[in-house]
Amino acid sequence: MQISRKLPLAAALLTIISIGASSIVSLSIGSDAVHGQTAEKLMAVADGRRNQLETYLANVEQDLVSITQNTISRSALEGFKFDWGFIGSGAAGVLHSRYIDHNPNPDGEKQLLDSANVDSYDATHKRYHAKFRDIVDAHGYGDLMLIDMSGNVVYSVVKDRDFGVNLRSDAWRDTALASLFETVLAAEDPAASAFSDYQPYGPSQDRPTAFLGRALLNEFGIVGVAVIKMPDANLSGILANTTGLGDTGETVLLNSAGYLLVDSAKTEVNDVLATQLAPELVATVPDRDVVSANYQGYREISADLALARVDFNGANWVVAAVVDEAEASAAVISMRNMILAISLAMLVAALALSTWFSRTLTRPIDQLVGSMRRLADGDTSIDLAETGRKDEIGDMARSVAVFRDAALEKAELERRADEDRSLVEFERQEREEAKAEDARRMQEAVDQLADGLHRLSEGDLSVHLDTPFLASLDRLRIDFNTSVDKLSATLGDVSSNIDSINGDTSELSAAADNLARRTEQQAASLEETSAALDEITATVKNSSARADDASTKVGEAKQSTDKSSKVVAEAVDAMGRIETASGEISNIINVIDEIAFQTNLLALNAGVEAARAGEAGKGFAVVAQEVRELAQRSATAAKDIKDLINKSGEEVTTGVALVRQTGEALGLIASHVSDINEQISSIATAAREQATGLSEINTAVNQMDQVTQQNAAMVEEATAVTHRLNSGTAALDALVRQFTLVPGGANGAIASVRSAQFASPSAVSGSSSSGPARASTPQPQTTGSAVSVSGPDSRPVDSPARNMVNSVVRAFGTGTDAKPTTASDDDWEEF
Amino acid sequence: MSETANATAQSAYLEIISFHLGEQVFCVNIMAVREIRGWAPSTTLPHTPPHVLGVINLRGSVIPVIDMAARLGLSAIEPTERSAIIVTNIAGKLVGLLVENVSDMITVNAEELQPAPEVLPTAERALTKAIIPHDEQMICYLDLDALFSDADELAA
Repeated sequence: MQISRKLPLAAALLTIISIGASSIVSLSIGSDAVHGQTAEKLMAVADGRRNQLETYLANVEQDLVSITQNTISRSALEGFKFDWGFIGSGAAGVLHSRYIDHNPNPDGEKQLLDSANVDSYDATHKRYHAKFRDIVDAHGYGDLMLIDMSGNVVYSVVKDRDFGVNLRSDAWRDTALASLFETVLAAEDPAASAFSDYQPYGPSQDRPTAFLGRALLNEFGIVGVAVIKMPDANLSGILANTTGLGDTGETVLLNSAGYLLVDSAKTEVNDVLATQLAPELVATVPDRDVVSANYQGYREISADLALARVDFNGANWVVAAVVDEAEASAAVISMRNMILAISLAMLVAALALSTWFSRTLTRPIDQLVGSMRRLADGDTSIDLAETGRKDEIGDMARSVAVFRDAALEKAELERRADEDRSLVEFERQEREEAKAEDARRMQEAVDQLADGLHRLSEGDLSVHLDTPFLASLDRLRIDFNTSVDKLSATLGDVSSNIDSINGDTSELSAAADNLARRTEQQAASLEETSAALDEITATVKNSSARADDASTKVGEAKQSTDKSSKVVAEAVDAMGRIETASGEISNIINVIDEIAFQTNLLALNAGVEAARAGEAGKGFAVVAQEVRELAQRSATAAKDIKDLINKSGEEVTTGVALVRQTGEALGLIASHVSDINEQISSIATAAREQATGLSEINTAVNQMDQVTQQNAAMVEEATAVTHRLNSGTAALDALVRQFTLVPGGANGAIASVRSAQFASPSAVSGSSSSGPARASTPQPQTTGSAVSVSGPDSRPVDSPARNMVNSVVRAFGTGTDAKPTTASDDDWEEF
Repeated sequence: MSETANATAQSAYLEIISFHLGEQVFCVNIMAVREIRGWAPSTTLPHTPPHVLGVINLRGSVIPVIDMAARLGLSAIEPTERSAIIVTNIAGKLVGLLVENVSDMITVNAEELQPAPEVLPTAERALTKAIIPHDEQMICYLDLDALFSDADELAA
């Protein structure tokens, strides 16, 4: 399909979709909003009416309360009751006759009669009637009645047929008024109001009537009941207000069964207690809430409802705000029609606009396509008028212009390439001719060079190339000439150097012989050293064994001193025990002394008694004297023993001191023995170190022996090499003489080359002979051994003998007085 | 004095008990001695002369104890275990004499009794009845009645 058709179609489709979607959404939102608004309005109206009704009903009740509490009402009741007694039985008929039948006023205005002027009741009636009538007129009540405790309706303002009757009589017992009267009397709270809901009432021509009653009280209790008929007109007035509900809307008051309590202005018939509205919804309305619903069947419309319950004295009333659904949704329908009209207009406009817009796009594209087709066929003369545009079509036109320019440029390039090709062909022929000339001259140069090299191979060093070569090869000729000249000069040097090598070789032979002789001397010295070392080793081992023996002996001595220490301690203990025993003996002696004293006393007393006995006691006096002497002797003996014991105690103390001194002396001996033991141990350790040092020396001497033998072998090899060197020199001389040299000036150079070649074998032998010497040179720095240089040709070598001597010194010396022998005055080579 | 007279009359021998007070040796007639006891602590009495040490219990009867050294004007002696109390009968009353050491029971010849030198004051001389030289010692024979002529106040 052509773009020129696609574009308008797409625009139309998009417009339809967008407008349709937005219309549907706005319709749906609008419809919901309108319905929600209607419901809310209905609920607000229902709530408002309900509140208005409740306020009004509360006012009515408050009015009744003020009536019953009014002293006028009470005194009126008392007055009517008093006068009632004078009327006697059949009061109803009498009063009906006075105030209804013979009332000059027409029906409905019977209350205008103030008094029938018959007896005292009429006087009382006249006194109070005007006030009660004013109250009823002012508030629009149906009636106001006063009832005494017997049920007699003693007063009524309006004076229907219920005036004057007894409510407890058979005819009236079942009426709503009678039941209200009984309810008020039976109520637990005498101050509570009682309410009788609307129902058909006979005296009011069977119109539905509602009563509100309350007890009249004095200080002793209930004296009667005041009852008012509910003001239907005022309720109708409240409900007739249809403001905000449109043409079909209204508010109605329903009782618990859903029947209308007030006539609807929207119906022809009287609806009170006749027309029913949504009884099933009415039953479910909660107390202080507003319910919204839809109901079919009232006034033959589909009605939107809002229901609110009225709370008044047990009256189960519901206020319903009603409106026709058709009226509520009229706004939605008009909105839908408006949207449809606008959508259609916009669709037509969008189609026209899109067709014009697509035309402006597709026309330049068609022209561009034609131009491109011609360019593809090779026509570069196309005219591109659209390159000036700023949009994508302008970009496309400019791209096509680039293609056109590229085609023009390509034709120009092909023409130039043809011209270049013929020029290159001419240049190539010229180059080939030049190359043939070069090849010929190069052949010439090669031939000359080959000739020169051939002569050189035959030993002719006087060859020289004089003809210049091709410019690029002439360097070859010059280098050849230089090489031959240098070779000639070098060989001349070689020849002269061979002579000096001959002289050096004979000196070398003499030196080698000397070396051989000295090596033999060295070997002999080493044998002697080895023998001496064996003797030293034996001696050292002997001294080590003796040191061990001494160590053992010292250990035994230490054990002995330890035992002696124990003995000393035991002796001290024994002395202590002796002291203790002496103390005990002393105590015993004291006891003996005491006994002797007492005995002496007893003997004295016996003597006294004997003396008093006179002659008869003479014998007894002698006995007593003997006993006294015995006691004195034993006392003396005890004293002597005590002295002896004291003396022995002193001796024991001295002994203890002496034994302690002995113990100290023994301890000193023990410590000395320990010192001796340490000294001997260090001697033994030194001896063992000496043995170790000696074994190291032995190893060193063995190494020296090996080295010396290797030296001898090396000296023999050196001699043989010297001889081979001699013959080699002769052969070299013969070889050099094969060359034909350029006479004069080049001999020195040849000789130097030769000497370098001959020197190499001797250098090899020298390095190999020095190898073992180097291997045996590990030299600890503590020995401080210096190395002397024997001559300009010899390298510094440590003497193994020096190592040995130093080891010996180290082993025997105590360290401080060990002076390592310096190497300055006896060299390794002098062995 | 009656004892002395008795002794002189009945026999020429006199039995005495000698004791030490310091370096000095004294003696009393053995017949005046009732018994000899070892030293025991005495109970001090208030308001008594310095030489009265106190009283002791001698088998139920309370007797005073006199420090003989103090009574004789010598330096007072320290009682030790070896001290003794010589219980004497002076004018019918028992009196304990604290002495340093009871040394001997000696029988002396009455002729050995030498009168005390008269250089001493009369009162002092009255205490020493006689001097008995015995075994290189001079023993002072004490007159106990004179020593305690005021025995009445003692007894009181």
